[in-house]
Amino acid sequence: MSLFSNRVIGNGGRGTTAVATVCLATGLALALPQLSMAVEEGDLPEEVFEPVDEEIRMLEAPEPDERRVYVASQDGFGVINRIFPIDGDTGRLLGMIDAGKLADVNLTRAGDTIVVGQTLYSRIATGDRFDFVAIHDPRTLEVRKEIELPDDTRPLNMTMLSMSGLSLDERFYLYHQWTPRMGVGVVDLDRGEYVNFIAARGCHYVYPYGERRFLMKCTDRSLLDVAYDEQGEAVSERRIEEFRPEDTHFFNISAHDRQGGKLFFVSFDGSAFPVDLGDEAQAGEPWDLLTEEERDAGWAPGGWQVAAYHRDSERLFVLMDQRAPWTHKTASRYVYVYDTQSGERVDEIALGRAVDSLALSQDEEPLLFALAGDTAELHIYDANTGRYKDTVDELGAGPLVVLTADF
Amino acid sequence: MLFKGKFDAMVESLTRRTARRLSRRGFLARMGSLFGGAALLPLLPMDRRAHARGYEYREMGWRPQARDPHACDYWRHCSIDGNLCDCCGGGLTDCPPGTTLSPSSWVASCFNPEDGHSYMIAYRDCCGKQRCPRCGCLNTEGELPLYRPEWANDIVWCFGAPDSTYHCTISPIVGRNG
Repeated sequence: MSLFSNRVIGNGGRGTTAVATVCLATGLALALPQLSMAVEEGDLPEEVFEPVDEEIRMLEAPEPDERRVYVASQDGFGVINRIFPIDGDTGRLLGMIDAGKLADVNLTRAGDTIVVGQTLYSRIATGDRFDFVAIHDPRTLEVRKEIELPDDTRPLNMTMLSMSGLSLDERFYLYHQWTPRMGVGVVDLDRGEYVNFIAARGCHYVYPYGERRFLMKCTDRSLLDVAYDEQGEAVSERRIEEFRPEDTHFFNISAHDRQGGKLFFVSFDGSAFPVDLGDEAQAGEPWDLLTEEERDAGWAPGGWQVAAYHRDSERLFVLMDQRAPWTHKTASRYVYVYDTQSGERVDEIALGRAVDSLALSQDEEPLLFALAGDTAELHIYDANTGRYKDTVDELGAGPLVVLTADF
Repeated sequence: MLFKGKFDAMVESLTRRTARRLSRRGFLARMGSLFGGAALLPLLPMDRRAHARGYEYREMGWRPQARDPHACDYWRHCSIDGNLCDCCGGGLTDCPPGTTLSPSSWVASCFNPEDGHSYMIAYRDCCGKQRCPRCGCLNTEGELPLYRPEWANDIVWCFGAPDSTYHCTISPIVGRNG
């Protein structure tokens, strides 16, 4: 008789089940030494188990495609964090990548490399601090390479996509430095080393574009445009003065299409400020995301990653809600969609829930990924129709970052 | 020592400049526009997390109370982003045992509905342990993006502390208006 016979477990009353459970546990305990030896020898004790040859595999994730999405969990400003790769089509979690404090994720355009800037300490939260970049394989999720960064140079602020980026040819990883001075750290991924620091006093974030250029957003309302060479040395810089109007503030995170060369800043009060990232960045004409009546009624953008851009359709998706003043980081329940050529609003999507961050797949039938930090849920919608498709839950603690590859 | 030097000086200078600037007419104007009607609002107790990020906060905005410093809507916490040290073995102005006080800070002007004054709060992080998991709050009254760091609460303000890990935040007053 098998130990797992239904007659023993299933047919008894509550008392019988309890007795059976004790017998089962005792039987297993007695059998374990013998079982262990038997498994090693490939010979199960037939009087206890009927052999079953079930296959056990070590999985790899499928080849990344346009619809793979990553969610990074920050746990507030926690020391240990997680990155979750998800198949956006099926809503299936594909695995997990370990990450340190304020893990900052970048993806190559083809999605074939995951670059994670992060910080760890030798004794949990104290001791020596290690800033480094880990480069992961998107199928095995294992570390291919690690690159050390100079001591204490990573920006320790809540993770924002625009605090780092890859050059268009994906050779350089650029990251904003607060310390020891303000500027940009240049890491040569091919050589596997930090190669230079480019000073940029009073400027923040970093938006790589073009051949060897990056843009920064500065306290004095200008944009700083820097060209650099193969050694990571700055060769020229220019300013786009007074880009940000006085008394207007932009959300920390912008919609940046590295491949298509587009950048959209969104202001707290609901305007879009485009920048064309061609050979040399050019400021475009701002447009209103809201009518005066809507503004008067309290409509305004809000959340964390408040905007996402779909390259082929040239549409900008913006998180929007009715809100009190100074609630710009509070989650929104609606997505307004704009044709960036005309500035016209072409769609409004009611999400049915409040979310903090948006991302889009870049295929022809794009998925809209809407991440809710409080509930640690990723909600998936058809971006063209607004139809709800799926929810992936239990994505760590307080996830705020969601991103897809460019393709 | 981590981070010491120019950045400390810059942050200190920014904080002092901001405090000086806001103690004058600009501060009055700002406070008037921000908090002019706040004293008339009812002071309802609210769930911390719901208040921090939820429906009520988005709809109603900042509605400070002066009774419960453990709640996210306590008036001093008007621009806090993190965990209240008062819930973590510390106090409103005290770091918990075993942590270290960061010398750097970000600032906000918060209205106290009890006495009708506005106060400059210089939020300071207590550092050197993992994040305390209690009393997490995100308030954004007057909060600005990173390019205005003296008003930005997304930064780990452990600059100048021996360890750069964030544990919790205290809300000391550094100035009173009027």
